[in-house]
Amino acid sequence: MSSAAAVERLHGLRVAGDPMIFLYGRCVDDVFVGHDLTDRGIQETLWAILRDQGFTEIVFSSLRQPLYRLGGAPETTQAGGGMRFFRGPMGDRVLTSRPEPEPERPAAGLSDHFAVMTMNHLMRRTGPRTAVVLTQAEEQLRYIADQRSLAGTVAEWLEYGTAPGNVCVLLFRRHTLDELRDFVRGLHGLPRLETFLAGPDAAYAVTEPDEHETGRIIQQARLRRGLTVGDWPGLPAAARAMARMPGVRARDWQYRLGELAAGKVALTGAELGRRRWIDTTGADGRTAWERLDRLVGLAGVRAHLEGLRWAIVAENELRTAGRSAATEPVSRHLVFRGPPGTGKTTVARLVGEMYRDLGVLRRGHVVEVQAKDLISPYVGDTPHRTDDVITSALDGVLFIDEAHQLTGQNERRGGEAVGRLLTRMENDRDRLVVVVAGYPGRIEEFLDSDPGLPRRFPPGNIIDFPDLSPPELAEVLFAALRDFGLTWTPEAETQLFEVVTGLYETRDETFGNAGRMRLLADELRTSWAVRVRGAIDEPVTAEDLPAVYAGHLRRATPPLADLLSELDALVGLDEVKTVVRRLVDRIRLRGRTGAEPVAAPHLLFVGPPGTGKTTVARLVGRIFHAMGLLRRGHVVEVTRNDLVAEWIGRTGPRTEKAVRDALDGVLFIDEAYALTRSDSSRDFGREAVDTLNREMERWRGRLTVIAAGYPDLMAEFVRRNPGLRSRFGEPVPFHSYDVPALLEILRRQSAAEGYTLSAAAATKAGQWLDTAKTKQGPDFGNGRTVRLLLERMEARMAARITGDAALVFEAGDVPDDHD
Amino acid sequence: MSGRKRILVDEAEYFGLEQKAKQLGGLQRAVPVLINQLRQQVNNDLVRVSEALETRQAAVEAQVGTLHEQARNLEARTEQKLREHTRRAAAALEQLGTDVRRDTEARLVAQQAAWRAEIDESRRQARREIQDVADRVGDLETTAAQTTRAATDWLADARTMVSLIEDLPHERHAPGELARITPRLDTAATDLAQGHAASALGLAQATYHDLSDLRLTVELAERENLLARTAATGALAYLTALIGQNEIAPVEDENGVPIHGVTLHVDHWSRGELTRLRDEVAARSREVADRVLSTADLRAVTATEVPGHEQRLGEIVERARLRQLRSQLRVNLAETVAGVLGDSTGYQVIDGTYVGADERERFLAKMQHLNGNELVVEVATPSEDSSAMVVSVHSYDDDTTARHDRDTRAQAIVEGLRQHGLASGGAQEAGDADPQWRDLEAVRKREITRE
Repeated sequence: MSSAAAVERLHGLRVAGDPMIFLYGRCVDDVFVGHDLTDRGIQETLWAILRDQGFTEIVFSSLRQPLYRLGGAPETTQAGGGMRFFRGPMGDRVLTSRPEPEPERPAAGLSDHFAVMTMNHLMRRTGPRTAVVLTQAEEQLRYIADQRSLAGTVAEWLEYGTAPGNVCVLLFRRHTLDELRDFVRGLHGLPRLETFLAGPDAAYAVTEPDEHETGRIIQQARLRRGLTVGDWPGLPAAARAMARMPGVRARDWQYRLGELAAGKVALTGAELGRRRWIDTTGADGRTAWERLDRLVGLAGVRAHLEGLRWAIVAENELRTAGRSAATEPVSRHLVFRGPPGTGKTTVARLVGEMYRDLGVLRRGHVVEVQAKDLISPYVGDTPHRTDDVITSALDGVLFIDEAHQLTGQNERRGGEAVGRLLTRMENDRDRLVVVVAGYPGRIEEFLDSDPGLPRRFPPGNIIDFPDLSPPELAEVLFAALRDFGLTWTPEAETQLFEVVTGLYETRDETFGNAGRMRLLADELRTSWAVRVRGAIDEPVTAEDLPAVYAGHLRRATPPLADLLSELDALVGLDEVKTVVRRLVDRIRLRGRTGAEPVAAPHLLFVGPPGTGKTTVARLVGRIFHAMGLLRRGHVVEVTRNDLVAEWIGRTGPRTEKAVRDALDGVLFIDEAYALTRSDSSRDFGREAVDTLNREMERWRGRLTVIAAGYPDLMAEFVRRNPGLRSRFGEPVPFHSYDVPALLEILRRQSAAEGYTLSAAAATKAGQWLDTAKTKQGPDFGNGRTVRLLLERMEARMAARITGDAALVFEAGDVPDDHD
Repeated sequence: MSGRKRILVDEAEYFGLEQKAKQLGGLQRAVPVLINQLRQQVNNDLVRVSEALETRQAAVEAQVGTLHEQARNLEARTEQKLREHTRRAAAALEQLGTDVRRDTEARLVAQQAAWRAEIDESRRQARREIQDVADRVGDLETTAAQTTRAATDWLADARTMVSLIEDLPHERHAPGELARITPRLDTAATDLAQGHAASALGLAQATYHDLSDLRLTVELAERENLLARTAATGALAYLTALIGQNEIAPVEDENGVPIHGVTLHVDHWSRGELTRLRDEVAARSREVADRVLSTADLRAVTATEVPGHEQRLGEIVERARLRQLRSQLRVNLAETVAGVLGDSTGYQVIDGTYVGADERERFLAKMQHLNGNELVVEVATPSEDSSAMVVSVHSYDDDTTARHDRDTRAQAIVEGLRQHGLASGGAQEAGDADPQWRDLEAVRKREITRE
């Protein structure tokens, strides 16, 4: 573009085919600082652009002046008050009327047929290439009285076209395309316009000034307002940082720089940052690459980007040299694969700058969104919302975090959003770079959700962001504490490192990395503050660590022998004890051979209820922990109800959550056979089993799953789920207790409650239990029945004794019935 | 088909042009110029009148010298008074040139009456002396021959007087008077011839006095006539000059500052009223010069006719000024309407003219839309001096035929006029567009015929 009035942010405005162009955005009313450092409004700027594009007749129209041309006087009254058109015997003199004219009322303006008639004529006549610019489109469309005529005219333009090359430009002040569409829809009278606006390229967003223009604004302030520049070498970086600030118009920069000049403050990046006028990450004069180097743990990312950079440079050079025949350029779109908090957003910003420096993007700003920003709760609205977001990111980077959320449960609307995204990536390929980010595993689901995605995001453009290592995490944590102004004791530092290591080792794919560390720092600060009560010189100590983290502290694990003794002390269960001991021995043996470390095994506990399965499961957790197979060794007990949901699509997440909760410990599924008790395809238990299967594979070594239930039902369960069968070893049989064992349990439980069992009571209890066992058969509750008996005996004793009589169960305390 | 909308604007209500025209000045009076004009005219006339009087007086005095002593005495005294009279009258007329007040004529008339009384008194005195002589003659021993001789003298003097009267326009000032008196001279001559000398003497003497009085009366009347004519000539000359000065008047703005390059051609705007006035004045001037008017008529010219014409001149100028203002207002209104139409409908002005290119006629503005539609804005005054203005919009649209569209457009005009402070009463449907106004070139070349 040759004109001095041309500004970069309108470079993309091309008149090509469509008879109408819509301009909108916050910056429509901005000033545009041209290459001559002159301020121009949108009208003058547009005039220059249209003139450059070959329009010889450029007519403007506003509410008050239906038709005027720039340069010519606005066609109302002439300076000096004389007549314009005619001469009478007294020349151009206007005789003044006697009464004072009424104060001016808004003119009738475009309120009738004729302005439309005129525009229609201008648009349809051949000859001089004509542009009609409606400078106040909202007002003009809203207050037009003859909407029918306008609607008809517009429909004709759009259907049959205008004279070739003619165009009608409408200037709106709506900030987003969505608002613009809403506005037009709200007029209820221009259906064709609505349809036209639904298209992708119908509207052009007037954006904030880019770095060239902000550079000119600085020069303008320097030359006209006496602004001094404190840091000449840093000036381009400052201009870049200014251009990256969303929502700050040229007009605003002029005002701000005027403030600096008036206050005799020299312009530096630091000063702009101090006033919070710019985001300081980009204004320190260092290149994107230098800042990338300083980021923790991103060497691999840097290497990857370096490769991409040289690929683009080479491609540009080849094209410039005319030696490249490739039509498909290197894809600029990237996938950031990694857990949260690993610097993906920061790197996305650097990518924006890098692309800008390479000339791929004009502004290089980053618009960060998540799935919810693209998906609308209203039917049919998602493409519009997505369009708006994309438009705001034009000339920069659209960074979609957790992109996988666009698939899965949001499948349909997510699909609409992805469809729009693909269309715009194609249509605006010179103005848009998309970076999608997500967890490993999930991001692949996203890429697989539409065949168009892998083409836009080729495998070579997938960049992995590994989790931060414990030392890196600790560095982030301590830096955060330092930022809070806190100090800490050496003991606290040691313990915090243990906690960080623990968090790292027990992490799952949602682990927040740096974000998690900042959260921890926040929690520490809060409990520290409560403790020191204003004595801020107190350092952070170990006691400030919230209780939830205690599990990560290295504690003295009881020796395996003690745990095994504990097992041995259990009543009965001889076969169980044997199986567990064998397992322990085998694992020890494998450990000694130095072969691949043994993963914590999954176990099947089969046996009737009340036979100590849960107790043993807890003990197994501790034993595996002591053996180093599980980091924590805790037990999460679940039943079918905890895993299977009533609605479709909910079961998987529910099961996954249970698995997450049990990571580094034991997931104990009682009555596991109930998961698949039905053959109905509507039973979501199947889904639970499948999910479980997958999760067990995924978290191998991080989890022990113990499935428990009646022997025959469990046998059937395992038989019907061959995938599971292979994961569990031999079942551990839990047999019904015999009466002496039951009595022993009763004795121990009584003792635990502080009671003594008399011999007579023991005898009667033995009879009672024997009868119950016989009567209930396989449903006999074993330990549970003992517990029940104890409770009834307790109640009878309570009714019997008074004062401080000894708490001894008598025979009479044992009930006679079995109800 | 096309349509026509009419919008009424009462100029008097909004502009008060009538008052404005009055404020903007009555007649142009370049006073020193007028006085010079008047004085020169009067002086010229006076010189002529004086010369004539002088000539006649010399002739009269020559005759008087032939009279016998007593008559000579009487006439000489009268002549002396007349000379004095001539001198005073000239002075009074000269005064007229420097003092153009309306009562000049009346004062002149009063003066003349006073002089006449003076002369009469002088003559009564002379007659009394003659009577004394006669009485003394009666006392003396007068002979018949002396009586005859005296009778003969008086008779001869009486005939001299007759011839002096006959030189004057006595029939105009004292018609039949001389013919009534003259027979008595024949009677006296007969008496004398028959020897009745005393009777003849008495009759001759009395007749002489009557003739002498008649001559004085005629002489004075003639003099009054001459003076009245001079005054009338002066007044008419003044009026003519005033008319001349107001043929083209400067035009001033509201603040009385002359508008450069703009003048008011009174005769043009009054459609010839000024010429008619000038012609009337010229005709009167000729009559005055031709001495056909009576003294009373001449005095009326000066006393009422000229002031009346002066007032009429003022009215003509004022009317012309008002018409010029209204003409300007017609264009102003057309301009306003064109502006409103241009701003609100996109019509552009392509031409504008008065009918026949005559600023006194209605004004027509032609506007064209880019799509070829045309309309003509007509601004007319129902009669030349009416304060009502009628704005008509004639639509010659090719495609805007819906009544609604024209209503909308007319409403826009009314609204626009209101914004200019012209709260007009709204637009009325006025039938079809007048086809005669469509071709403005033809309108411009049109011959204006007026009854």
